[in-house]
Amino acid sequence: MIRASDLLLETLRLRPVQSSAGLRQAWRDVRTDGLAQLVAFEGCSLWLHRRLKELDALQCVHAPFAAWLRQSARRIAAQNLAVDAQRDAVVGILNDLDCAHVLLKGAARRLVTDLYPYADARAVGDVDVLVPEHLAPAAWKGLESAGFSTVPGAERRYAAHHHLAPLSNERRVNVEVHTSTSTVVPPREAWRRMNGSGCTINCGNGATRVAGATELLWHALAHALVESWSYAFRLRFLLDAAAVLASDQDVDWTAIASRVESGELPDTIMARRWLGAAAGIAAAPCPRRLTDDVPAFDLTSALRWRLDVFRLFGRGHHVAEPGLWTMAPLARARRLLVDEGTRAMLGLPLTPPLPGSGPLRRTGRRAAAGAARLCFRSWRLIKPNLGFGNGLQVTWTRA
Amino acid sequence: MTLPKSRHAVSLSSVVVAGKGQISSDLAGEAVILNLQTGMYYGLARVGARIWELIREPTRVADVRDAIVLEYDVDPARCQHDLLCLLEQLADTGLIEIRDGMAP
Repeated sequence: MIRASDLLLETLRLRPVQSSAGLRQAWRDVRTDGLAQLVAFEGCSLWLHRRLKELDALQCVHAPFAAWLRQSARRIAAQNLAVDAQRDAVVGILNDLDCAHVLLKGAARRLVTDLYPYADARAVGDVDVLVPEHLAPAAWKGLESAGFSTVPGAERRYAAHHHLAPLSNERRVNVEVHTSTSTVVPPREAWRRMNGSGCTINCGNGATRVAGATELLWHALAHALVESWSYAFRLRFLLDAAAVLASDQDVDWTAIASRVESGELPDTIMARRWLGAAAGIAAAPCPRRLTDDVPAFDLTSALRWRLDVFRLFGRGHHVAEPGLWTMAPLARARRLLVDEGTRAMLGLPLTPPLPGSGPLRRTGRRAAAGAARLCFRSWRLIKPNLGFGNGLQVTWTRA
Repeated sequence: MTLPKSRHAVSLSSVVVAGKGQISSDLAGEAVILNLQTGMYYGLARVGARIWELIREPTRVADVRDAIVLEYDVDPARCQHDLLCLLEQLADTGLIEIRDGMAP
């Protein structure tokens, strides 16, 4: 029996090693319990659904998982449509204000699928828009005048942040007005990068701008790595970069390499391992100077561990149970196990306690993280053939 | 199962068009439609997605039926029945407008 996590990764890859017929047969054979939880956790439902349809393999998938995937893909597609509608409204308001702007992240990628065919195969939650720093207050007021208001409780959390507090309206899709793309990039530089590349595109309510391939790739990398190490190596972030890498748009690798070494990111080695993993999904070359002496993050092993965690705690469910992200003890334990596995593979210390927590909580958190790390190490010992080598070499082993 | 009676009557001479309060997208050959007023979303499989594509512009129902019969291996009577049912459901959910007897 083929490992479901290996099959998932192989299917997501845009130029799989296996033939379409081989993948269809593998999907007929594979055990899918726990897979829905894994796919939901990784945020790759839409991408997987599209790949399975392209491979004419969705009808080969175990029926309960296929039904869940169809439903999940429809729900996410509908959510993305709501974001599109909000994006168009925001673009219209900013154009009325004569406010120059560049769309960021998912809201931007969904407008450039002719250039990056998989750029929209991902869930989008909000509308991110970059404006020149001096225009941000006017943009904010304009949106307020148009019926948007601050998301309750958000003001204090976003003081001195690279975007203003999120705004929302009756559509319930948040809008974030950015003055930069990251806390470490000065606003003027962020605007130069994003506005200076790419193209002007017409959406429902007029003209807007989307950055070019180099900046889309860099923003995907920077955004992932500043979130947290554990999150960065989830598929959803890697897919953003893979969509750019798989396109025929030119990436300025000199600029990327220079920024990787510049200290703009918290860790150079992690950035290179991340890029290697994304290139593996895209089946696209990554310059040797970036990846040669640093192995790509081993997604094959990471996904095997994560699937085993979901199977262990999933009670054999074939479809995703609700509460994947809740604070319920089971959900938290699963996330901690997954995160500690990722951190161990990256050579990082235990998950630190939350800032500001008391001594008891800190001790408890350390003990829980230590136990999770021990589970991962034990799993590595009992699971054979789990190298932590180059994730570009997608293995096709049978369990 | 008996479907509840539709509030909208659609006939072959009706002209139908996708409503303004919706937004839709392709989902690997299927169509996903979001009603912006209610926040409800709907999925249409392959043939339904093709019908949706045909009625993006005002189109006579008979013309939709003829196009589907031409493109798919389906009995015309069965196609007409299913098409009218689908259009009535879409009208009930506010996703299409019906313009009786008007030329497209």
